[in-house]
Amino acid sequence: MAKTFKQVLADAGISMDFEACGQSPREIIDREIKPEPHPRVAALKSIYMQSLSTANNEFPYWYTREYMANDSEIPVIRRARALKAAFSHLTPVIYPGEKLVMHKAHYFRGSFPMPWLSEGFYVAKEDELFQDALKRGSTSADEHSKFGSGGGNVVTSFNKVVSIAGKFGMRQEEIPALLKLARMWVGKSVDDLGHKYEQMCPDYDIKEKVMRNIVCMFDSGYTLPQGREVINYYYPLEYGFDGLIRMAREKIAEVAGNADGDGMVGMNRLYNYEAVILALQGIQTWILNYAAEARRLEAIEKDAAQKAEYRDIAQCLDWIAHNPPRTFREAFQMIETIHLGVLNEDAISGMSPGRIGQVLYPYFEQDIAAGRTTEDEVLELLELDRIVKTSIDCFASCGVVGGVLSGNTFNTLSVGGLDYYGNSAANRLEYLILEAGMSNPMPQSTIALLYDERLPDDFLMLAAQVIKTGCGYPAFMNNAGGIQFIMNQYAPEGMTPREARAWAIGGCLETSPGSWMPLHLNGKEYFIPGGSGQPTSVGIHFLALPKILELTLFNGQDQRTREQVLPPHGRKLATYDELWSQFKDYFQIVCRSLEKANNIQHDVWRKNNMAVFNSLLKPDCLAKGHLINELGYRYNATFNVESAGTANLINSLAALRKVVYDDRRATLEEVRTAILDNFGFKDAHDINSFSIADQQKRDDDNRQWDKLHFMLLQAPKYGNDDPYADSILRDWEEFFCDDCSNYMSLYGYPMYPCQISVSTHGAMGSACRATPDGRLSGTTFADASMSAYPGTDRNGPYALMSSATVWDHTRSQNSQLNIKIHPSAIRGQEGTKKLLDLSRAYMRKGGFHVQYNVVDTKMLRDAQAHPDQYRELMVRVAGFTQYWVEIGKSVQDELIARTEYEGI
Amino acid sequence: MNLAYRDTREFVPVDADKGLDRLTGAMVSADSLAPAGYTRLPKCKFCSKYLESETNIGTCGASAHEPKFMAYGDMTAVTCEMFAD
Ligand code: SF4
Repeated sequence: MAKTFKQVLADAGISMDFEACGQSPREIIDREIKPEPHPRVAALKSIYMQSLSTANNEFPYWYTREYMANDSEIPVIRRARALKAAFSHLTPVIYPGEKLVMHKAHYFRGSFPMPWLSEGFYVAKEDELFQDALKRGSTSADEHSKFGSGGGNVVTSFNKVVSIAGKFGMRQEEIPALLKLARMWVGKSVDDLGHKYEQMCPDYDIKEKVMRNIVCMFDSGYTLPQGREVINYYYPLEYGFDGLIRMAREKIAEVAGNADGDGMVGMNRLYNYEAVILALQGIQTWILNYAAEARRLEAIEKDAAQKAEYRDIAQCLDWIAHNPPRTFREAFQMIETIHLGVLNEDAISGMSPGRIGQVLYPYFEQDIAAGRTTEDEVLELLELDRIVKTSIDCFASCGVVGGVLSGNTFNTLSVGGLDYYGNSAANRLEYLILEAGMSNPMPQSTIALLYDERLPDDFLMLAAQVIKTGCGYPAFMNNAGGIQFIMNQYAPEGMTPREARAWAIGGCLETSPGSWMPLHLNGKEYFIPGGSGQPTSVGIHFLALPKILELTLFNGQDQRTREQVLPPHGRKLATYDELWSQFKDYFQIVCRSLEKANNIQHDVWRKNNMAVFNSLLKPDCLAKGHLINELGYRYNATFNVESAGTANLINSLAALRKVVYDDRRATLEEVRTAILDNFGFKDAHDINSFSIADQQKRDDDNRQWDKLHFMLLQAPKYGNDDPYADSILRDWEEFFCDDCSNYMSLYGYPMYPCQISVSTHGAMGSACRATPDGRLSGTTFADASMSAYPGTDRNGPYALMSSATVWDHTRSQNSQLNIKIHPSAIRGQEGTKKLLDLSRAYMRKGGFHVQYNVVDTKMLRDAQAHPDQYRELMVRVAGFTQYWVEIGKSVQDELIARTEYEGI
Repeated sequence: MNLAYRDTREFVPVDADKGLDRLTGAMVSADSLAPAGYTRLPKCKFCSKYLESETNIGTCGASAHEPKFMAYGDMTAVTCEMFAD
């Protein structure tokens, strides 16, 4: 067999260990802590574990039917009517044992396509889907085991289930309807209309080539137009849905026919309020349909306890369909309903519940004091919430769901931080949230801990204990840093230091603005936090930085496709400064072309597909009478520029500077030739492994590149507290943070940097040739933005953290550092404390985010070989937790290769 | 004639392939036959307003559109106020 990368290095006497700070034990070591959920939760979780992602056409059917019947209506009314019809016709389904009810669609992991955003995929695949629908009919055990190995993903068609994009299953009987509905949106969807107009941009040709060659990963305008934001549950909690409808009616009486000095959009307020009423009526009918179903089940149920539970569910739903909640249970059900409602309104990934421990605290406090509930009951509800959130699937465009999101929907929940008065906001309910994360470990909600020096020690120790379960949460986020970023970005829109404290994480780790809202319950006032900003999932997403370096080195030509992506620069790149300057020029050309095209897509979205339900929840839409599309939100400067592959860019620049420019041990031409020859290795795709460690030499390789390859690999690397590499990181961050503000969103606000990779480091690495840092062709980029490249961080986690903090993290919406630690390195109470000390040290250095994979690499290898035995294994990828079996191989390979710390 | 599980009200759909029998609690195949006496679930294909033109697809006679809007036989109709046996 051909030698692997690791063996080649060992032969040369070079240690590029994938372990640091010691050696791992020979046998597989499991995580130390493994608590159990309540029996009811365990039973429902078992259904979840058996269920497949399933899509149907009920929502799109009624949406399209109503939309097409109103073609002469004002756009916002037309949209609201369609939403009302769709919500009103969703079939309710209640599973035995559920206490928090309602689902996106009537399956456990139900979702549906939204062809009004993009229909091209279904139309293009029409024949394939039809054939699949027709030929199905027999089952085979092999087919079953294939999708079984992908967890809930329907990776292939089987029985009467057609696989869509290797992820969703749809009944074959529904395929003709899917295709017919899709065809009705040809030329009308956001995708099609956006495409028509974006072509009028003078640099559209560049944008197309950038996308085609995966220099950038996705168009946010029609794939995920909203998300990576924090929802706001306040208005329905305070006023109830009937109260909000009354409010909108009163506002209509005020604004009808009255421009109020705003000749542009003043008159629109009438239609917007009418749209709000229609959307709310749709939500109410949806809830009441569930209440009716609960009553039907109550009538036929024989078991007295279950019968009573159906009655409780019906009473709860009947009440919250109209009124503000009175109890913890009603409030929890209401926010769950609102959450699913918003997610049904649009293709959204990363609609974060925010600081729900603080939102629900008033109900918790009063119910506990009055003896209406117990902490154990609350814990059970919190465990159930983890099933609800993990069951949320997003049927976005296919490459996005798989390649970018790994199937995750990022309903991140935040705990900690500071309250309205500036004191620690951690409360008893948040301790229970952490406990539920431990007793029912599931990927969602991923938990973000807003670390502040004022948080109590036992709260932080509990958080560290949760991390030790290996669930990948809570992540530590820097509260002071987040507040500073919020002030920097939103002060021009009126942000104050007090309001900045209401921030939370939207999506994986997107710092998102919030507001304090005065909630009244039984005569007591509480200031609860909630999101008040637009989506941050929007803008220029995601840029493969190593790919831009490849274009720089090769005069604008992609070396995989040989396409001339960017205009040739014709420079010799004779000095490092010239190289760096050209890289920046190319970066700007790419960004500029994407900025314009994305603005057009989002502009089409806001004209025809604006958020109505999500808008009415956010301050100050109800007060202003303007929805998201007319700057109704309190904070609108949310569009950003997202990067991926930072560590590979920095290491590549450091290697070129050292080997080519400073030491002159090789020429740039030699490096280019070696890159094109992949240093004598096969392409990652040829061996179907995307881990650097597993790459294999070609049989015909004559070792001509070994010396150069070793030199590049041994050049200074990011993550070792080495100023040579770290100063390049600082230069990059300075440029990046400054440059983003040169791009402007359609709402007229400057953009800012966002530094998370989600799963794009897999997909984008796979489309990138070898890089000057010694990374090989097709292998996955380094995860996140501050994580080190596998095997290159040799000086331990504290050195890595020093490297990561050579720049000011408050200038960016986020940064992201993930570390893999062997479970034996943090055993016992002492280990928990070490973990907390490490995290705290990073926060004190000014790092924004750190999270850990507490896992034995040998277990990951075993899980890759025997996925059926690891259905419940969870891992941390970039900013989220996901089931091992549901993530793509390229990302799995990087996780296996990532340096494992054996000690702290 | 026995109905397929997925065409009955006693079937709780878990995913496109299977679901729970609400009366027994067992996980069953969506396409397997339900015991005799299980109740028929309202679906377009059981509605008198549904006119099938091709396999699994047709039109809804109750729609206000001209020509009539499409419908598909397999759609659950428990929330359709115009469903008629
Ligand atoms: S009336 Fe309702 S149930 Fe009958 S065909 Fe039309 S949509 Fe289907």
